[in-house]
Amino acid sequence: MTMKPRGKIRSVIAGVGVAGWIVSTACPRPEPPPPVTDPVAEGERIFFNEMFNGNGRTCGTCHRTEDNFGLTPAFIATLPPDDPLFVAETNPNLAQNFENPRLMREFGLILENQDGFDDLANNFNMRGVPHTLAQGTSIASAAGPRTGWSGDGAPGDGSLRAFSTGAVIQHFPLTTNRVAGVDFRLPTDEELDALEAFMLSLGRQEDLDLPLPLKGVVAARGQEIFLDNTLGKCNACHFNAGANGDPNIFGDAGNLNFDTGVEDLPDQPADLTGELVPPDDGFGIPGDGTFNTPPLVEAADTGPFFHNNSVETIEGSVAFYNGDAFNNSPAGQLLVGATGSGINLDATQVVEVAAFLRVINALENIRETVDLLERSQESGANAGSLLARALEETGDAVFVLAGGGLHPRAVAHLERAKALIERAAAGHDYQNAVEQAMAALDRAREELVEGQ
Amino acid sequence: MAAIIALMGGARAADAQQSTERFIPVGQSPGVSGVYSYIGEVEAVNAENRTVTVRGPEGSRTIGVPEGCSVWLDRSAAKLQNLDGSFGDITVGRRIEVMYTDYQTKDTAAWVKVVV
Repeated sequence: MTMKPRGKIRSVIAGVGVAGWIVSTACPRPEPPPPVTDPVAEGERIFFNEMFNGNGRTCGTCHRTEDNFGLTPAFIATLPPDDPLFVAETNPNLAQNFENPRLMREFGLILENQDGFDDLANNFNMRGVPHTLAQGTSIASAAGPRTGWSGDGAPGDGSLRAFSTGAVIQHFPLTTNRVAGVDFRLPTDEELDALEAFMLSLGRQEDLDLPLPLKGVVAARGQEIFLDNTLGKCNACHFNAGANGDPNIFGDAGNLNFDTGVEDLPDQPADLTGELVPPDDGFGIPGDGTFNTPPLVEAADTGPFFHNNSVETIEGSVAFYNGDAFNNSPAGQLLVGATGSGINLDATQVVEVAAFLRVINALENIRETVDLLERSQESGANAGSLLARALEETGDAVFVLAGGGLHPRAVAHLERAKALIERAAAGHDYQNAVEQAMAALDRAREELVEGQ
Repeated sequence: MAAIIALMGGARAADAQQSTERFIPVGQSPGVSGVYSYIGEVEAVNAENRTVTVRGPEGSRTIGVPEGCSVWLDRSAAKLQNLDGSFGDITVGRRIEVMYTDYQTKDTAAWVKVVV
């Protein structure tokens, strides 16, 4: 698993940013703001602090560092009542038709007006908060950028850069009138550049190259099933467990939209509450029922799954593809037409595929933790926040492996690494603790995969 | 498996989100304004052919506004909510932004914003 050096990407982005500040000296003009020399750092500042004169939310209100840049009900339960996430409960102007507090607290669902704002009481969707990791590998398509759950989440040119503008309009306003300059201010071009640079810096910068030489027999069998186009058939749409179609099948299509029938699942959790949950028609207005393909490397620690958080566990999300909802869906029928059958895995095989996803997620957690620890050694003032993220990543690795009963020796090494990172974060023998933590992480990785 | 390509019917055109676009004032659409759109003053309207002639920085351009094309009323300068409009709201003298469906031909609108 080799990853592109983060510094190179930052340098390119910084170069573009500086070039944008070339100004004419022919006539006097107001002094421009100073050039942004580190757009990633500036984007991080904006992401977590800038409220755009709105209701108090920031991008980080829903995309939490501590929650893999997403948002789960378990994390929501830890927040104080005055957290800006809950503006629909605290701001009378947003009490109606802005969020559904019950569905937010129980299922982590956020209200979106994908199909327009003219009938706020009835025309909306309830969607989970997707993580913002590995977007550099997951949103490009031959048809243009695919942002958000259905690939059409951004106004303007539809890019990740423009996505932030749409998010401010949807989630940040003081009232549902959504008047620019009154209920919020729009991000500037420089802010959009920085936010995009920050989001692209998060997580994995390259796809895996499967198969990996996995040591555990269960995960290794899961990988075989995943890659087998006559059995699991997963790799066709999640090439190398990423978000893009297999180029041997789809050419250079990149990220693809499919109608996989998630909306047709029976007994969806949100529906069981009796709250109004209109059908989500996905891409476009009116929608065509399709949603874009998310990356799977980051899946195991970022549930609940699918656009409507309808499945809680990674095993359940694999099992979804065995059911009628998928096999009768347009995507399922495409698969039947192309391969002669749908997907029909037995319980052991479902668990094996899930185990594979758990192990590659843990490997990514370890890679990210090492990267964060190395950066903490270089960064001085920011070391605290980097160590906090490293601690979360290591905890996630423990969570995904222990949750599947996988690799107990690796889990023990990861627990040791966690303790050492906590020690470093507390300022006790920082350098030695970080180096020992990285050694423990190496040992954990050696338990999972050969020669990495 | 290769049959999937044919069944997919090829790649679709990129599609940005139109629902939030309505709330973005004329000239401020990220990545679009001044690049993939034409901004100026309405010089003429031909209701029969559903075309609008816009006088802007690069002269006059006549652009088709097909049925179903979104027309939004930009009232943000008056601190009022932007609204859905119609072709009939495009009148001579109003400030307008037209996003092209095709940047090469520049002859058809993907959406229209009119300052009212």
